[in-house]
Amino acid sequence: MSVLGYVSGQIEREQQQLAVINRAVLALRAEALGVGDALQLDRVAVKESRGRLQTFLAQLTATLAGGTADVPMGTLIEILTSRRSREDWIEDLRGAQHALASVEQLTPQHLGALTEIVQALDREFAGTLHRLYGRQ
Amino acid sequence: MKAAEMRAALEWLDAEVAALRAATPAHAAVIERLATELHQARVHLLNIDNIIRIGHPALVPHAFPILHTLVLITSRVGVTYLPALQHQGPRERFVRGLVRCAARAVGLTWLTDVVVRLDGPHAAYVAYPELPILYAPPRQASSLIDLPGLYHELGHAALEFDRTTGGGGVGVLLRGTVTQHFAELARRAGPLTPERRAARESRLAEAATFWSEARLAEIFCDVLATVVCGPAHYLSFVDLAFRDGRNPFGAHASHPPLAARVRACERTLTLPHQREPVVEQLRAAWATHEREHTASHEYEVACSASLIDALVHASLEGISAALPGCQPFTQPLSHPDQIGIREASGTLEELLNRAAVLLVLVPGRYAEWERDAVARCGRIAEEALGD
Repeated sequence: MSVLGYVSGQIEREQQQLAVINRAVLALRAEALGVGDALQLDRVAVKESRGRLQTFLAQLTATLAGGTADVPMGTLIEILTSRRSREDWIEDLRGAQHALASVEQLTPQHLGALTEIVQALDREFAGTLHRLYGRQ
Repeated sequence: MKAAEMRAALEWLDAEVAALRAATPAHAAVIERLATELHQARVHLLNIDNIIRIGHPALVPHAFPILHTLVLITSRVGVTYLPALQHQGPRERFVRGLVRCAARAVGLTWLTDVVVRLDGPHAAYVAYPELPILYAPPRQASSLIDLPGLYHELGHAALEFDRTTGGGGVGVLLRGTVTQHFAELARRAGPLTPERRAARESRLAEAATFWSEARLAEIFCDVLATVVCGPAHYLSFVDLAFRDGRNPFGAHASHPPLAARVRACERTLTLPHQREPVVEQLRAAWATHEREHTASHEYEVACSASLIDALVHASLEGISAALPGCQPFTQPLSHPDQIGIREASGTLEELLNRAAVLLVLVPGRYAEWERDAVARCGRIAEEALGD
């Protein structure tokens, strides 16, 4: 009984979500460092990134606050809460959402939390990648 | 270092895909998709180059996800699709035609192409659900046995298409069924001490998490294959479950326990099919097999008959919504005496059900009959490819 049917679709969805979130956080990092031009990012790209992150963080915060490891975000939440408590994450993510909704630049603490989320998503994706293509 | 490795890999893959473009015009859509992926990979590589050039440590963590994406693209093209496309001969063409025919019955109206690879157990690669790879054992090119398993694999493409294009309604239906089932059980607890109530709710919550998205997907694919293939899929699945040899009440990897899946297949059959002698015989044999094993308490809670029946119902609802072109197999099964040696007519699903009747009721006649049936399948395959 093969798991390929499920995993081959799952990895595509994981990759797409990771790409969107990574690109968005990278854009905000680049803006904060003043290197947006070197990454060919304009204001529109940064604005779009803020919008995408707001949507994603709202879902993530709601799932964390609900106390359940809801299926689509189950692994991500497992990885995040192995590092810090749910309450800490909720506080950080609400702060980041507030900053994203205004025109404020994100603080280093917010950017740090967002980068941790990218790394957690990447860890999940790399795990699935290894499951499909890793050298046994 | 990895970026340099990826650059070299992309050059090689570009050349291989260009060679395939000329060699396999029948798979032009797949090859176009691979070429687009390789182009996208070069954009990713450029982004890594930019991050490296800027050289700020805060940007470096953002290069890894891009690098992993490059590994996925180069693996998907070079490890998965390329070898499959490089081994396309008459046997693959035969099975590909049958898969096209099966896909039409399943209702995959959006399927653009399918690549068949005959070197492993049944499986599907559905990252691009409209251009999947279907794997089957080499024997599939000359036998109908196990062919219903390909309908199950097409179910994975259907689910993935629904998740990425249709809003994921099927998954929501299945998840909702599980949530509702366990919430209802929690409500029915009656008077309990707070401690016992908490323990009970914790057990139910654990049972609900047993039903991962992957396990629900397997149930949906079993139901879909049974809807389209009827008793032929039931036989194929019971046969698979017997071959497994382990306790059918145990879960393995991302799959639900076999006993739960056999029940799902059986409950999917139409009532007249449930009363067919073939099905009755298989049901009795499977019941005997189940009695030789013990179901754990965890199985009884997580895979109760009422939940499996509810999941079958939800899957049928999902099929109606996501696959309106699906053609259920509802015909009565032929009596063995009506099944001739010269199989000049009949749809693929009719042939598969005739095969099931012979295999279960008069197995001695099967081998001779199958030779003619496979010849008929060859014509069905060519008709499907000629669309």
